[in-house]
Amino acid sequence: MQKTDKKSRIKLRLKNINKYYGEKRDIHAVKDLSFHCRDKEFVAILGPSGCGKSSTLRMLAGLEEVNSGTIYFGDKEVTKTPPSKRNVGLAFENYALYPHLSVYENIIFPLRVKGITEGEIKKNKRLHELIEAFKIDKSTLNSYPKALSGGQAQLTSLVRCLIREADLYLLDEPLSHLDEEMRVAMRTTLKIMHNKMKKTFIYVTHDQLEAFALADRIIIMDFGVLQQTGSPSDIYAKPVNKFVASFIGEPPMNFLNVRTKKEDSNLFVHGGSYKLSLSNRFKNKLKANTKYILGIRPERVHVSSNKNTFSECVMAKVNVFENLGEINQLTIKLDEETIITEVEPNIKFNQEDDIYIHFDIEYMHLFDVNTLVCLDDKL
Amino acid sequence: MYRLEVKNISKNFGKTTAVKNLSFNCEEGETITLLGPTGAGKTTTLRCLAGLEELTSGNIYLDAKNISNIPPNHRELAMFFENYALYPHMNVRENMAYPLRAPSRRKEFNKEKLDKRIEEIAGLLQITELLDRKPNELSGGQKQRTALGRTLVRKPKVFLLDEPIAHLDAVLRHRMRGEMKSIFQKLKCTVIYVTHDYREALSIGDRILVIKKGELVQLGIAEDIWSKMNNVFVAKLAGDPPINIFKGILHIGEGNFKIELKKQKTDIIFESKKENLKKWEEKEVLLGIRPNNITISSTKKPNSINGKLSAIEAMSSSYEITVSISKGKMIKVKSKINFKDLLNKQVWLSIDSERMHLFNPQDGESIYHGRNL
Repeated sequence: MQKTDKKSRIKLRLKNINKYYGEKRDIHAVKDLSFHCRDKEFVAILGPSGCGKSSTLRMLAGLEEVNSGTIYFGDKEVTKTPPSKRNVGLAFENYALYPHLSVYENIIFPLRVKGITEGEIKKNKRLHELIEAFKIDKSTLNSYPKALSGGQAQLTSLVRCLIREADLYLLDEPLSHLDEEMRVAMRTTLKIMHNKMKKTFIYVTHDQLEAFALADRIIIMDFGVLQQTGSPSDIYAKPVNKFVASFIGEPPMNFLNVRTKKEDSNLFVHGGSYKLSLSNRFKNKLKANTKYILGIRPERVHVSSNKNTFSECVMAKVNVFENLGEINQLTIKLDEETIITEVEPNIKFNQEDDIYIHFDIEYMHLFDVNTLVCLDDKL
Repeated sequence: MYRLEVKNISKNFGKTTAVKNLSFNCEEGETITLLGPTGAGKTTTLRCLAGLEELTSGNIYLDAKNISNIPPNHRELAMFFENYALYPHMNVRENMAYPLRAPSRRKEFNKEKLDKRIEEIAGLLQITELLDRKPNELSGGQKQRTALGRTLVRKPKVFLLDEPIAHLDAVLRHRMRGEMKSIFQKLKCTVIYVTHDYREALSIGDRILVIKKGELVQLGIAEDIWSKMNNVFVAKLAGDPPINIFKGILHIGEGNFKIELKKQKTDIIFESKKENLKKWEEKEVLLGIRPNNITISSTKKPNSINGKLSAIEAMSSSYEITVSISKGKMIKVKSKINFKDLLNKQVWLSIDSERMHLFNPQDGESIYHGRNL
């Protein structure tokens, strides 16, 4: 897999991009950002509101000036190229539809601009495919933007973006105004379209589930700074810091406050009432008698009502048992802290039941309490 | 004696029937969730219980006493709406205390008792540190907890909650879901809880009442709603991505049954001792199979369905895979394996016949549940 990735062309490269806002340039919205996208890649920029993800996308589109740094499309520098010359497809959260044009006319606008005749437009295969795939029905096609729901307007804007023959498609929360059911359905449609079109997509979202589902690679930002970039599975398995670890995953990663202690030259971590062995991965990484934050994903926490199931386990109490159909979710109280885990649908517990927890130590993360950096060996 | 007994209630608005001959009982300390799509009559049912809507017919009993004609403020029920309204000029403590300051309750709650009650509930909701803050200093989730706290400080006989956490973001909603369940259990509340989110309904409800067009479709525990559903409507309502449905013909072979999927040119073979299946011989049935009960293979397997793997969407610890099996027909599969190398390639899907469901194609009623369900 790695080999083919290296071979594919770099479609886009950002080098040390900075963006300031405010009269005195005192708001540093994007800080020294560098990343690249390969040809045909689907890249999601993920982060909470105000992290600089939309500013980044707008700079790529040429809608915002770059204060310092350079942007390349392929080998060509476009840092100062006007938006119209960049040949990018754009879809934003606030649709920007032409109010005097019908939905259909809005959608075909990019084709008209290119001088394609009405006859040819009618025969355009992609047009019909997109309209059908994104479920824009006849009556919607004939209506005007002011009559549309937020969701319909967004889909119109998205289809208008994808109809263009662009080098790069830039999408900013293009599904955010759809209701949940439709959003999930259209997410799949977008993914299928990306597979068919074989183009480079950059997708901005605050929704980790969306980023996970769609992206080949995710770029996570916080406070204008790139935190981590990698495939969804890499980011999930090897978060670089506590922010990434807590931002990704549903149900979220469990965090516990622990302290290291040395016994007969072996290092252990101690919580309130328990003691855990450590994986060899942490050898030489940790200090004795030091506080750390232990992180472990719900699926790496195993439970049993029988003490003898595990060689090493911790006793705790069930706080909440939830049947979610496909899976059951358990919330466990361990001293004053909470642990969430999932069990198969045939396994049941009651509130206040005693429960024995086993942490799969090979999948345990430890974070520095001050820097919040993950101390795992990079695999 | 039931805490709440609902007997044949109906509610018409002009010519529209919003609730139709609905009956159910709720025990003391029990939580019943009302689950249904938008417009199913969930909120109207709740409003009828609260006394905010007059019944067209039927009766409601609270501790065996008929309350059908008693005004809302004398029903000993507390209602919580989705669009909560906190008083902006009052802090959290004052907002929570408000319902107990009503003239009719002043005798019951003196200053000391009031503070004790508020602190108890604030502790449960983990908002003790926020008691002195004003609503505009709270996050969405904290406002929601405060509003919930205002409902919980009263000790009504039944709590009526209408989509209390629906407009929170997904992550916060999932956390609050567990917390609410825990609070209901700790306070031993009797709760009627309206939601359109099946996970919330299954998780929080001791029993789940599925409602469609004002009528009861199924009332049962979570396991039954999930794997012994009464009909295809319930099957589609619970599940994300939803259950896959195929049309087939049931044939009876020697010692086994066979569902012929004509469009997919394959047969699904299974064994069962169910006598009632015989009357479906050579008839059309609907086959339902959940996304996690289908397996994907890159090579042809007997009794499998051919298609093209057209999308892979990563979830936290699994993958949601879309397979196009014929023009416009997509099948969803949930898998622990990422089939990245098979993207845009031909694949074969095997159905776990011991976890499938069969439905009557005419009325959608359930005919058969796989024996491993």
